[in-house]
Amino acid sequence: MVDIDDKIYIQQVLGGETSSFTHLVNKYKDMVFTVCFRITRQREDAEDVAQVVFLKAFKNLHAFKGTSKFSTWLYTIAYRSAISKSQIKKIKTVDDDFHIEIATDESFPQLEELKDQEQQLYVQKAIESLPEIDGVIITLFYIDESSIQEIVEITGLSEANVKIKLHRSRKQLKINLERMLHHELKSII
Amino acid sequence: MEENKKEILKKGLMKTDTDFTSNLMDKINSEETALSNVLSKHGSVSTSPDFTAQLMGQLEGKSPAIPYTPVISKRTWIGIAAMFIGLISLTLFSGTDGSLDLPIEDSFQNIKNGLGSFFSNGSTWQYVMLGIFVLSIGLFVEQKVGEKV
Repeated sequence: MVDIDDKIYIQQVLGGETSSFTHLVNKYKDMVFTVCFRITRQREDAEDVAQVVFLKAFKNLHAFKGTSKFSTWLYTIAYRSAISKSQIKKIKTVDDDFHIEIATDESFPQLEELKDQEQQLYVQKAIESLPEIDGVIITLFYIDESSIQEIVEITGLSEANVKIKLHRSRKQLKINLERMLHHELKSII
Repeated sequence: MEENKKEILKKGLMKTDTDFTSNLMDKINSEETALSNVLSKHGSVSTSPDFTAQLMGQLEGKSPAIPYTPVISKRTWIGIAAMFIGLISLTLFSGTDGSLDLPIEDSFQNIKNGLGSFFSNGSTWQYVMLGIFVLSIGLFVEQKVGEKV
């Protein structure tokens, strides 16, 4: 279950080679940071939480049994720590009454016309417009390519809930991207 | 009559193109792929450049916490407790002639006699039992303190 490289580094860290932890940090820092950022919505807060996450992971590395992926274990800590930081007690849901527009154009062609930095900005804005938890689910599913089961493990939500949120967020995200890009294209032209 | 109505309505249905489903699925899949590509390319955010250095600086000289494992396992504790209870029961309910006297009023008398005779002319096994008892309490306290640490 555990990635073979991760396993080697974990064993080395447990054996006293603290420097081996660098490999694990470098491998997972962006994803941990992204998960934290989706919830805290503040760069500074997300960075603080991400640091705490890795410190916790290091301290409790003995507790990692290897029954799941190291990334799943790590993202679970990240998710919980970020939630704790933001003091989000309730899982928010996306409103049902948003207007669903069917995309008439081919798959986001406008996006390809924009520069990389601008694309990054719009995608980030589109994800940020989702509820925090939904942003995390979308991030884990599309960026980390986590399975539904892994997302269930990380978030503690039920499988049905994760699927519903994923479906709704996906729709909302498409709408947000189309709206933003349409507006931006107008302003650019 | 009802069947005829159904047949008439069925005739009124218009057929889709033969490739309707595959076209629709292609469209859905291409949108899904596009969304997936866009998100995997631009969806993540990066930490500050000195993130790893800062973190490793905090970890310098530290090592992962060693998990506490009790010296005596839970199963052993149950064994010790069972043995202790057994020995206490034997002391309380055994008469001076070695027979078992179960009535409760006699038991209190036995406790009194037992404790009195224990300290005046206790046998070796009684002292061993007391030793086990004291040791058990000591280990129990040690375990509880260890858990808190």
